[in-house]
Amino acid sequence: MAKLSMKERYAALTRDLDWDFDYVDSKEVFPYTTFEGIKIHDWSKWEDPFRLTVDSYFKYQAEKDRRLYAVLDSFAQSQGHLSLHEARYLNAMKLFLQGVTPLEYAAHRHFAFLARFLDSGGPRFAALCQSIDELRHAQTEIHTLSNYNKYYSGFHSWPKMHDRVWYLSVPKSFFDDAISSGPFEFLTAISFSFEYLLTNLLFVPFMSGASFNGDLPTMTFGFSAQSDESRHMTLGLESIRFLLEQDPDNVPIVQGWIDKWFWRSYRVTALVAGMMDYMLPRKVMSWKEAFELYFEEQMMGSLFKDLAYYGIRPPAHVGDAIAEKEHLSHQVYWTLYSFSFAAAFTTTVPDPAELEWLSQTYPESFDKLYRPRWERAAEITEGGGRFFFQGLPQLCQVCQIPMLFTEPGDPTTICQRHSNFNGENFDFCSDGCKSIFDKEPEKYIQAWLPVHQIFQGNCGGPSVPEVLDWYGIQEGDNAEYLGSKDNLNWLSWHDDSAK
Amino acid sequence: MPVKAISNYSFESRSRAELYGDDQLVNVWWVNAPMMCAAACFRAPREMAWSDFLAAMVYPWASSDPGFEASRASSWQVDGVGFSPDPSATLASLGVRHKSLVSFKS
Amino acid sequence: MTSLSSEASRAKVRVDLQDNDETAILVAAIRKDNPEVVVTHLPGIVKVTSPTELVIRRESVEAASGKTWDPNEFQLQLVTYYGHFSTWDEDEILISWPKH
Repeated sequence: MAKLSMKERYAALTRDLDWDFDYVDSKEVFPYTTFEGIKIHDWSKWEDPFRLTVDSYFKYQAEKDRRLYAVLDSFAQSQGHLSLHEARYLNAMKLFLQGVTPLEYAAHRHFAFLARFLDSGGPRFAALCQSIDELRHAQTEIHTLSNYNKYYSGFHSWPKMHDRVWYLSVPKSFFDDAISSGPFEFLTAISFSFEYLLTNLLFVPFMSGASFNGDLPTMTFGFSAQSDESRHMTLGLESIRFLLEQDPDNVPIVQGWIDKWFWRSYRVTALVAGMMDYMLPRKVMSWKEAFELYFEEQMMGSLFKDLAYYGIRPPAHVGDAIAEKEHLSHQVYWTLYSFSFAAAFTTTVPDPAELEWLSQTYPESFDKLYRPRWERAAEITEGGGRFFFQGLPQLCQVCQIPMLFTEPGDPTTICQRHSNFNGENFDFCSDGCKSIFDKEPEKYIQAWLPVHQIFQGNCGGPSVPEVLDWYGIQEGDNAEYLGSKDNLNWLSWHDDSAK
Repeated sequence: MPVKAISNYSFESRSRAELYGDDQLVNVWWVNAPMMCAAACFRAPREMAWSDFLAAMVYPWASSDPGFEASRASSWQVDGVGFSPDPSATLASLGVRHKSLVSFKS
Repeated sequence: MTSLSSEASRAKVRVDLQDNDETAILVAAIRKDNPEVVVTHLPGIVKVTSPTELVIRRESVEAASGKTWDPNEFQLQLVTYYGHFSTWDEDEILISWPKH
């Protein structure tokens, strides 16, 4: 049998297995690809550089899983949980499991929807592969981190937490926003703006951080997932190019989505910024460095120069994001520290070596603005207290993050933006979030804002213990790291091994 | 610009005033307090006296920072406009409405 | 390979690969075919950056490893990339920015 080239195999096994409908109007079969105003003239122009076919897809995915599970087994068998650099590192993984893993599952579901409802076999098959990838990611992340659930707090109840807890409404509402959009906006939101523009900021430091902090299984699942992520990034870039090439009328629509979804995605990565600079005891690279490398150099430096050919400019408000890089992680983590009594992870004042690293990494901002807060917090702790924000915060109506971000150009004043819609006031953390609301207020007035829901009596009761119980947060999951269950267990395990 | 949708797209606000009965949400921002990462949000009766609002809600929250001194709170504003509240006046009569922003410095 | 415009030559491309033995072989092959690449490291990751474009040739990888290599296997080492897969077939993978 003559061997087909990759191109021929793709044509025969992926594209050629599609068929046209002659017994029913195609609009009835694919009812969702016109209402957004996107014009597609020739679906066959959709490119898949990977030229995926079913047999090669499963062959390589099986190999990736085989490699991962070999690592998981040896880690569990060798008491690998004791070889972490420090137990508090796992706070980053708790945030990941609670915040990101459920998004993988949501992505699995929505790509399955696209695998049914895009008009052509090529993109449908790419969406199907991504749907299966995302399910694999959710499963491997759960499986990997379940090993820690045997020994550490905060790894239980994460699906319930994802649906209920205040800081997790940030990633949840982001993805719900994308899923409730049309299929082309979803692709621009998730595949392009989130995966192509920003996913490296999420995954690469996570994995490298895991490697550097002794967490072999997380590093391995990260790599395993990330190898699929390259395909997903490609789907994002190819779908944008396809839309832009199909009709000039698509360009302003896509530009509007890039403006919106860059900012939505960027705000979600704020949690990653805090995680990178503060939750990893051993630092790999700072948020600022990662942002400069993966966003400013790669995306602003090359991608948007390339997309200018189609009439696409860099996202609106990108200048605000760049200007914020000296401040973002500090403001976010200070907020997590202030509210960690209501979180399923713990926080603590950075140790002296970390303070020094922060000072050197952020010479423009840290000593002047942020170190004094940590010194005050340390003083309060030394006096037998613990600084917490004893109340509930004002939330941004769009990103749902507490309104902690400061004015562009004035890092000492909190940014407050407002809009009035149908006689009601709505609050925003930034010009980026306000402009998203102002374009589609009917969508964002429906936001399930955790603080407002608590005040409406929908979250278990009015008191903190009642809300924490409703969140599924148990004793030992939350508040201060030093003296916590994880901290004390870690000390006793390592004390025993020294004897 | 309306939301592009597959059918009529009309929903109510999930934080509209009527959901809070005789109460309303009030945001309070201690402007020059670096320890306070964000403004706070409270649910308070519209007919609550200003002094009660401060004593029952604002001061306990601001005391999260042990350096807070109630006597030094000044430059009060509601929705960006300066005001000198009569302690016995109600929030509603002072123009504090649902999701208003009350701010002060110290 | 087509000649590069000055615009394109300013646009770097990059692959991040898992730091392991298979990657060491790939990097040797990449260096041979792309003398201008710069190789840097992060924990667990090898970053290969080219100032222009980056080609991975099956023949070179096979010569470096002494065994057959299917370019699809590149997926097993790839952590992330930056650029555009202009070619991915049985003989080579080319990462470059499109020349409009």
